[in-house]
Amino acid sequence: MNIELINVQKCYGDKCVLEIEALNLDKQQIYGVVGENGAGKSTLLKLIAGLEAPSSGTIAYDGESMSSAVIKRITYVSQTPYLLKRSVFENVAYPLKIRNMSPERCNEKVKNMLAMLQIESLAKRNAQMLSAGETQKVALARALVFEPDVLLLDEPTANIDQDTIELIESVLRNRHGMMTLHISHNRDQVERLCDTVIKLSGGRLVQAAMKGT
Amino acid sequence: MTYFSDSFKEAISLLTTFDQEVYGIILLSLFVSFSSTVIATVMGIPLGLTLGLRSFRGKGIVTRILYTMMSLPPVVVGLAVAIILSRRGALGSFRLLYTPAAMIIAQTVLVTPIVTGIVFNAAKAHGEGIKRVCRTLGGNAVDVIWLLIAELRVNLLIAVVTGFGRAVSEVGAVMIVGGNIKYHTRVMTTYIAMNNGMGNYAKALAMGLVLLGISFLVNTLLYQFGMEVRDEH
Repeated sequence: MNIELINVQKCYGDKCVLEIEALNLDKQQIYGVVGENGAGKSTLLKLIAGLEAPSSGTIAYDGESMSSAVIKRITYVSQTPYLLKRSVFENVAYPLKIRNMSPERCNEKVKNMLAMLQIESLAKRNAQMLSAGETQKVALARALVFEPDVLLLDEPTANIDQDTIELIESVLRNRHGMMTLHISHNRDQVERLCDTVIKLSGGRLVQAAMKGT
Repeated sequence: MTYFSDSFKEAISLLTTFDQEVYGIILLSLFVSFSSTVIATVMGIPLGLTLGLRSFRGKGIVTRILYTMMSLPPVVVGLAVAIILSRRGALGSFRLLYTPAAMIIAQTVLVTPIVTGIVFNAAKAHGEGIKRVCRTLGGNAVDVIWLLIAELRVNLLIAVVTGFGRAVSEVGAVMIVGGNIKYHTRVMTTYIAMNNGMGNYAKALAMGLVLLGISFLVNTLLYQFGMEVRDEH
C-alpha cells in the first residue's frame, strides 16, 4: 500500500501540532520517524492509522480515503500497548478471530508467530502479567499475525533490553512487502533498520530522505 | 444478645416451617429487585460505556449530575414516583401506585445511576485503550462493543451486583410507592421496618438475617466469577 499525505493539518483549537504539505510513503519501505518531543511524530502515526482525523487535508491509501477495508490493512503498536485480559495465545489470535479465520489456520499462524518472536513458552500465560519486553513482543506478534500492509510503531523498543531490540529489528527486516513507520529516539537503530528517515520539527516536515542522501 | 440468638432461631423457624407469607415476601423481594436490576443494566451499561468513551460539550456537568444521582435519597425517589403514578399524576391513568410495578419503577430510578456510574468509570479508565486495540487490529464498531464487554466483564458484573444490592436492601422508596400491603407489595425490607415498628424485633432481625444470607450468596457468586476469570489465565 502507498500512502500520500497532502496539506495535512492537525490542530487542537488554535494550536496546530502537525502541518505537512506533501509526503509520499511507498510500500515495502521501512521509515524511521525522528524528531524532538512534541514534534508531531505520534500524531503523524495516529493520523495514518485512522485513530484521529486530520483537521484539514487528505490522506490517500492507494488513492482511496480511509475506509473499513483500509483500516483492516493497517496496524499500530504503541510504546505501552494494551494486552487483552486473556492468554498470550488468545491475544495473538484475536485479529484472526475477528477476520473469521478457521480455528486450524488460526492456530497454525499464531504458533508460527509466537515461534518467530521466541515467545512460545508464554502462550498460556496471562498477558497482563508480562514484563515490558515480553509485552512488546506479544503486541508485535499480534500486530504482525494478520500480515498488515502497513505497520506503525510508536517507540516499540523504548525501555527494553538489547536482545529483545535485536530480535524485533530482525523480525521487522524480514517482513517483506510491508511498509513500516517506526518512531525512534535511537539514531543507531534508525541507521541500522530504516531505509528512509522522516524528520519532524515543531510539527513540520523538515526532511524525508533515503538514508545516505 | 438474646435478640440475636432469638432472631437466629426465628430465622431458622421462618425458613423451615415454609411459612407461605414469608416465602411470598422473599420471592416478591427477589422479583422486584431482579427486575429493576435487569432494566437498570440494560439502560446503564450502554449509557455508561457511551459516556465513558465519547467526548462532548457538557460532559463535565453530566458527570456531576450522574455522581449526584448515584446517591439519590430513596424516600425522595419514592415520593417523586408516587406523585407521578398517583391518580392526578402524569402516569396516573395506568393505576400503578401500590403495585409491584411501581416498586420496580422506583428501584430502577435508584439503581440505573449506580450501574451507569460504575460502568462509566471503568470505561473512562480502560475503554479508550481497549477501543484503540480493537480498531488498530482491524475491528469494526461491533467488534469494539464485544471487546469492551469482554474486557470490562468483571467491572460490569460488579456494577450489576452493586445495583442489585442497592435494590434488595432499599426500603424508603418501596414503602412509599408499594405501601407494604400484605400478600401484595410487602417485601423483606418493609417487613423488617414494620416489625421493628411493632416491637417484633426477633422477627425483624430474622428477616434481616435472610436478607444478609441473600447478599452473601450474591457476593459469593461474584467472588467465584472473579476467581474463574483469573483461573482462565
